[in-house]
Amino acid sequence: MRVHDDLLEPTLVGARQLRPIYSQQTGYITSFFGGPLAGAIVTGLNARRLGRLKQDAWLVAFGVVLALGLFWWQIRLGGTEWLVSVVGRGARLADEFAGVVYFLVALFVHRPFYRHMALAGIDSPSGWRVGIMAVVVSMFIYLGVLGLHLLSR
Amino acid sequence: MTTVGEPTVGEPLSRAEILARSDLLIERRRLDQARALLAPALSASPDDEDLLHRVAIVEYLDDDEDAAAETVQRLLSRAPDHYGGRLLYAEILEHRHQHADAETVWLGLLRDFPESADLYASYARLMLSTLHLSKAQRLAAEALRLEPESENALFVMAMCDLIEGRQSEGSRYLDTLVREHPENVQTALALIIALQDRHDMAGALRVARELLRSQPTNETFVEIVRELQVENHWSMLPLYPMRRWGWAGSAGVWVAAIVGFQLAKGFMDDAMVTVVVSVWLLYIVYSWTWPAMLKRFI
Repeated sequence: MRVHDDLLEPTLVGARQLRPIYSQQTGYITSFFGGPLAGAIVTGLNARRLGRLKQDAWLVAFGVVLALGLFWWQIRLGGTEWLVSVVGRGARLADEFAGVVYFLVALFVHRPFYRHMALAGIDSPSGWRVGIMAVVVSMFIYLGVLGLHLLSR
Repeated sequence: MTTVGEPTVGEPLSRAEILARSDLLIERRRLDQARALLAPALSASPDDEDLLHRVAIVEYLDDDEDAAAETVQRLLSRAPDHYGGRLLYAEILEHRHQHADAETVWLGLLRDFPESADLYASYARLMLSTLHLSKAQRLAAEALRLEPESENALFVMAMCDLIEGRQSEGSRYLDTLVREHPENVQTALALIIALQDRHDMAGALRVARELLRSQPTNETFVEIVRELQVENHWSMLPLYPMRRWGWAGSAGVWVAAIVGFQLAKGFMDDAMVTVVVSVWLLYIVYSWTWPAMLKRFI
């Protein structure tokens, strides 16, 4: 049994146990309505479920930087006014757009796992609570940053 | 001449006959008859391990998972090494998503029967269903080393090929599965998944219909056929980007629509823009509601 010893070691114990990740639908809707910050929260939770939080830390950081950069651009650099003059819609559209872009990047990174789940018939856990929580948390963070910005003026 | 499971007059059946008949009835999914045959025998010998095993199988196949778990635990408390009981217990645990407990049972079985290709393949399936692709592949490879035509192992290897996107260049494991086990349910399922993955929904539907013909009462197969009929329906054509690329397709359509509206604004009057926006909103509602409605109609 020497050759196969590692095959006969338990895998589904403790931290090595991987869990199915939240669906693409959860990621898309959360990112769309909550922007990249909410998307980053869902991505972070997915990375944790896959036991690859360290590997995906850059992806979560990318979402945070994208969200805060966008926010900075909108309130400090006149991004909102520019969007309204060009597109006719302002901050909301920029958040939606950045959220969708972030979703696509996160989807690309986690695509092998989604593929595995789809082909092996593994169901995603319900994403409603997580999605709503991510959107609410991201809104509070936005409000906090906005408050800090207003105080600093 | 009596048929299997038919009540007989005269001599009561021996234990061996009851077990043999119940096996046949279980194989043919005549679960009520199997239950009727086994119940009196088990009442007479409540500690009979093989009778308990058959009863647990009948309960499990009849979707009475709690009863099956109880019966199999009763069996294993009397005979902890009962091979069939341990197999069934592992399956029940997997079905209940108690994956770590199921793994413990599979590992125990593998330690006792280290040359069993089927056990390696079953453990590989557990690894596959818990996202441990690499271990699933290594276990299935080990199963194939022990038994090169192991159907379960070929299935796992074919699925691993699909997951890793090797299907486009052809999976030798899927080919072998089709060649060696053409009549098998697993082969058909693997084929359906492979065809779906290649977006050959018409081909997948043809195989699924054959599968359903072989087991017309199987609810899973009915569901597969229904879903494929939805995929193949002409009214799903406008939703092609979403069906083909999933939520990435949906994101692409949304971005394209935003860009399209901006470009269209340049040469359309307000009334026309309103019409286009209304059509877009209808399309969104259609994409959200129609597939679910169609599935109910079919």
